[in-house]
Amino acid sequence: MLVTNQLIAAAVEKSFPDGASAFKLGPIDLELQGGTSLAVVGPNGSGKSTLFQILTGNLNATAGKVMLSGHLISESRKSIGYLPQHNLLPLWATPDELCRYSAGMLASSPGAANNALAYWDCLEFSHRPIGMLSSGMRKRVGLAIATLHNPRLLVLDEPFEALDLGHIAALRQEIQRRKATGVITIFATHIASFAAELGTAGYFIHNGTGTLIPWPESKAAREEFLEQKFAGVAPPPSAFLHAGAAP
Amino acid sequence: MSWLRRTRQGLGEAIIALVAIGVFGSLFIHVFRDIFSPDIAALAPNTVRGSVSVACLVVLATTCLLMRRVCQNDVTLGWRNFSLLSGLAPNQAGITDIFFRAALAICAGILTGGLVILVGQGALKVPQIWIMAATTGCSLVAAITAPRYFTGTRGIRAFLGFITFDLVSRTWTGTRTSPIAIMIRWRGGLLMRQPATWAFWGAALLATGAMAAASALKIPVPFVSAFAWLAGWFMAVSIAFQAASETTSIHFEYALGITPRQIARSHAGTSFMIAALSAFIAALVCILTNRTEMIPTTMASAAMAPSMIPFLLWQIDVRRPLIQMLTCLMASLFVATAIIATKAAFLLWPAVLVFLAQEQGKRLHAIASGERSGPYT
Repeated sequence: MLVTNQLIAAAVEKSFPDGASAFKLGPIDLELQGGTSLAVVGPNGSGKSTLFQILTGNLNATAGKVMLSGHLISESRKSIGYLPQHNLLPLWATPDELCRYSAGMLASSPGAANNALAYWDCLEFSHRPIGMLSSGMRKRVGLAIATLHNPRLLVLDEPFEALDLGHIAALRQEIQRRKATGVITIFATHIASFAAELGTAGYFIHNGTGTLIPWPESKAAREEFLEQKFAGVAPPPSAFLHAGAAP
Repeated sequence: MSWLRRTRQGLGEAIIALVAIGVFGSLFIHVFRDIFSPDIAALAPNTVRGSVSVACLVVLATTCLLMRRVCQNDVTLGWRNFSLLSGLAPNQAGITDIFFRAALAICAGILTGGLVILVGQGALKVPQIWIMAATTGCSLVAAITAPRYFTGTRGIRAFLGFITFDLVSRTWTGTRTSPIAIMIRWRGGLLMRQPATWAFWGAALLATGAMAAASALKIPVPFVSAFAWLAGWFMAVSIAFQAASETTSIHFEYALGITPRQIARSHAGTSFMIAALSAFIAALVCILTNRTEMIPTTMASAAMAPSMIPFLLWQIDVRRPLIQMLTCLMASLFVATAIIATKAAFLLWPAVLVFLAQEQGKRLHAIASGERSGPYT
C-alpha cells in the first residue's frame, strides 16, 4: 500500500539517562496528513526543539518511533527539510557553497540551489563567508538549505526570529504554498498571530508533554485561544520591573 | 597575559596531559633506547649540539603556536578583512593572513614543484637552479593571487578554485558524483580555510625544513625520520581541530541525511590525501638531498600520523582535539619508531589501521543507534 505524505509519531519518548539533563519528553503521539501546517507553541524550555530533533531523525528517541510516508524517519532523511533554532552553519563556507553542497547531498540539481538562493534573496551575499553575515541573513541561508529540495516534511524551529518584514512575507507565502501542494510543514513560533494565520492545526507543548489543541475556524478566535492558553502556564507579570514606569 | 589565565583555568586537564606525556615519553625512551644509542654516539659533538638547538627552536615555536591557538577558541576566519570584522586586532589579522599565504604557497609550490622536478630533472635534465626558480615562482604567484578569492570577481574565483580549495566543484552538474567524493572535497576545502590549520601547517613547514636540513647535513636516518613524523603529526593535528570545529555545525550536515559513518569516511579520504602529500614531500626531500636509501622510512614516518588520525577521532571524543593530539602522538610515534628499528614493522602499520578502524566502527555504530551519546545524537 502506498502511503503518501503522512507523518506518524507513536509513543515517542526521550530522556537523558546519563545525567546530561533531568528533562523528559513524551510520550508524544502525533499523526499528520499531507497539506497539514502544524503550529507548535509552548513556553521556553518546554521541549519543542527536542521534539523537532526527534521528528527529523537528528536525535534518537528513547522509546517509540517516527514514520514518514510509511518509512522510518532514519530512512527518510533526504525527504526532510529542517531549520534548527540555533542555525549554526560552517563559518568558513559561503551561502553559494552551502547550497550547492546541500543540493549535492540531497541529489538535487545545482539549479535548485540557485533557485532557493534567489527566492530567499541571498544572491547579493552568496559569495561571502557565513561568518560575515547578520543573523537574519544566516536565517535566510538556513531557509534556502531547508527548502531547496521541496521536502515532503519541512520542520522550522522559530523561523520568524531575526527575519525582516519582507522576508517574513516570503516565509508566509512559502508555508501557504506548501499547504496547497499537500506537503507537511511543522513550525514553532512564539507569535500567536503567525501561528493562528499559518497553522491548520495547533500543538501545545508544556513540560515535555504535548497535546493537539482545539483549532477554531476564525483566525481571531485562534489567536485569542492561544493567548488564553499561554496565560494559563505563563501568566503576565503582576508588577512593573521599575517603579514609576507605568504608562 | 589573558591566555595564561585561560590556561590556568584548565589546570587539571593540563596536569593530566603533562603526566601522560611524561609517562609516555619515559616509556618511549626505555623501549627504543638501544636503537638510538649507536646513532647518537656516531654523531659529531657539533652536529648533536646543532640538532638539539634546531629541535629546541622547533619545539619552542610550535609550542607558542599551539598555546596561542588553544587559548583563542573564539578566532573565526583568517582572511584579513574577515578577521578584522570578527574583532581581531590588526596585527593578529596580519599573522593569519601570512599563514594563509604560506599554506597556499606550500601546497601550490609542492604540487607544481614536484611536476617541474619530475619533468625537468627526470626527462629534460634542466639544471637544478632553474627548477628551484620555477618552483619558487609558482609558489609566489599562488601566494599573492589566492587571497583575491574572496574579492568576488567570479572569473578569478573560478580560475583559482583549484588552488584555493573551492568547497564544491564549479563544474559539478549534479550527476555522477558520489556523496563521499563531494564530502571529501568539502572537508578538504574547509580544512584549508581554518586559522588553526594554517598554524599547524606552518609548524609542519618548520618541521619539514628541519627534516631537509637534517637530510642535507647527512644526519642519521632516525633523526630525519623523526622530523618527517613531526611534520606529518602537525598535519594530522590540523584534521583533529577541523573535526572538532565541525561538531558545532554538524546538524547542518546531519539534516542533509549524512550519517556519522559517512562523515568518518570523508575524514578518512581527506586524511589519506594529506598522508600521501606528506609522504610525497618526504620523498622529494630525500631525492633532492641525495638520500634515496631512506625514502621508505621517511615516507612511512611522514604518512604515519595522518593515516591514523581518521581512526582515532571518534575513539574518545571528537569534540576535544587535545585528546586526539595525544592519542595520535602515542600511536603514530610507536609504529613509526618500530619501522625505523626494523623494516618488518611495516606489517604492523596496516594491522594497527585495521584494528583502529574496527574499534571506531563499533563506537560509530553505538552513536548512530543511540547507545552512546555524542555530537551526532
